[in-house]
Amino acid sequence: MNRILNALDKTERIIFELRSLYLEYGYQRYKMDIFEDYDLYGRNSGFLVSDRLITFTDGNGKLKALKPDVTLSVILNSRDLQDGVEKFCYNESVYRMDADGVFREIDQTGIECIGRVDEACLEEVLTLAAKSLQQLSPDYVLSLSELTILSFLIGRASGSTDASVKTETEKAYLTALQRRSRDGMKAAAQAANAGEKDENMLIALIDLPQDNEKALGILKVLLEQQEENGTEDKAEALKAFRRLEQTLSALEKAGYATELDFSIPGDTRYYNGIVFKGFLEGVPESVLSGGQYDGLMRSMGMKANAAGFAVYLDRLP
Amino acid sequence: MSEWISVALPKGRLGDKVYRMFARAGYPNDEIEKEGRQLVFESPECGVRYFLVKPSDVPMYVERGAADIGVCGSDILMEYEPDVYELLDLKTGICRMAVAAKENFADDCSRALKVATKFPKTARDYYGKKGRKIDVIRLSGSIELAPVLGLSDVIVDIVETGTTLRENHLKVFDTVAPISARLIANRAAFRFKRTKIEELTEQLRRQTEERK
Repeated sequence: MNRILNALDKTERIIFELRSLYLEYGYQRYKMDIFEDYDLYGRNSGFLVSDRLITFTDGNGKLKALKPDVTLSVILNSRDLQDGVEKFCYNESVYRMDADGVFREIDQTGIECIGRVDEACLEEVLTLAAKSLQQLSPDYVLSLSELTILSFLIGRASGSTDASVKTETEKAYLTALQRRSRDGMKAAAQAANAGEKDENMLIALIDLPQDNEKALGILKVLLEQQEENGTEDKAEALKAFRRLEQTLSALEKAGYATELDFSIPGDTRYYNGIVFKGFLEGVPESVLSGGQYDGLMRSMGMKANAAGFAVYLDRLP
Repeated sequence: MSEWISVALPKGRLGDKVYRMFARAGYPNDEIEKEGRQLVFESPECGVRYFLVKPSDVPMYVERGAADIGVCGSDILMEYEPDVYELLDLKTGICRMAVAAKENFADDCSRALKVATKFPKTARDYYGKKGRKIDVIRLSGSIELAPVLGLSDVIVDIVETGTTLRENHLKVFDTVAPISARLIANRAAFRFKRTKIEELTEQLRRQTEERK
């Protein structure tokens, strides 16, 4: 056994360590042994990291794509369970174009839970994300954002009743938040004629401290400050806040390094609830990314909910 | 966790101005202002390491993590859209991205407008919003010469005082965006060195507010 382990390079060793972790938690191995139709990716191009794909025609004249992603294939091959959950883990090479326009083969590993994704299931996904990071480096942090809360607060500060103006304003707020740009946020709030209270609320979202207890305390005040307006959105946001509070508290009690960070992006067409990214000290970009993606399931005509994450092995030092 | 913070500063006039802000913020280095070819300067007493790099390369150093933070013009951020945090408008290096042309220029909408620029993405975005078809002529210097010699109809470039434009009988027809120096940070480094980066940002913010 030692002889085999000694023959593995660093990436192979990581792949096996992560796979054994996921198998211990009852995840079944998913192998993408066929190429999916191009149409699957074309219809869901917004979900992909890059919409530039390598395509080819198979012997039956069907246009196929050379594995740009694994999640869409896992969904397509799931049973769309309403009761119970299917848990998959994978390790695949995916093919994506880099910033220089060159296609690269990238090693990716990860998990997907498809079915009835309840709080316990989501907590397990986050625990495995933290454990995966821990296996890669002792100096890691799992950064979490919550899209129900974020959409509610951003929506309340966007003012206008005109849908297209509201969309543009929300986009400007999200851009400033994702860049942690206080100046950009002030400019966007002033352009939208948002009041001082809304402007301060938006800045507070950028400035949330790294200490979870303090951050949650501030977020709770920001939520409670919002007026009731006869819609259910405040109640929904408070419910999401309580879930977030429980999740963060459970992860912290288990000793995982987490932080609440609304600069983590999440496309609300596909993602809902908690989205997250993992970082390692000394690695310049996130090495893990995931979240709950019920929206993607709906866009693919599925009734089940889903959550998961991918570890980008090519980004490891 | 590392106590050092690495800072990519742009070489030249903007870098000199910005370095003086860092020094006033409590992060001085005795060597950096001396004439020479040295590019890395360390101040162990305050745990800061400065790199002097080409202004347009600053975002690359920061995005790829070679520097934790850096300073560059918002023109560079607009053109390259690096995946970095934009922590502070330093309110220095103020100028504007503008469209300029010969004083007697009149747009002929029956054909694509020839635009000479060092900022092709910025030019495409600006004219794209206006629905105007353009032919981008990418140059790397002396942009003002392009309309004078008939190489382009207009230029999209940085305008500070406007002296070069006037001397070449060109004038500004529109402002694309106001430009100033920005403090940027690597997304991962910000998480692991947040206290130190926020302390430094706060000191710099105070200076920008004092100048108001």
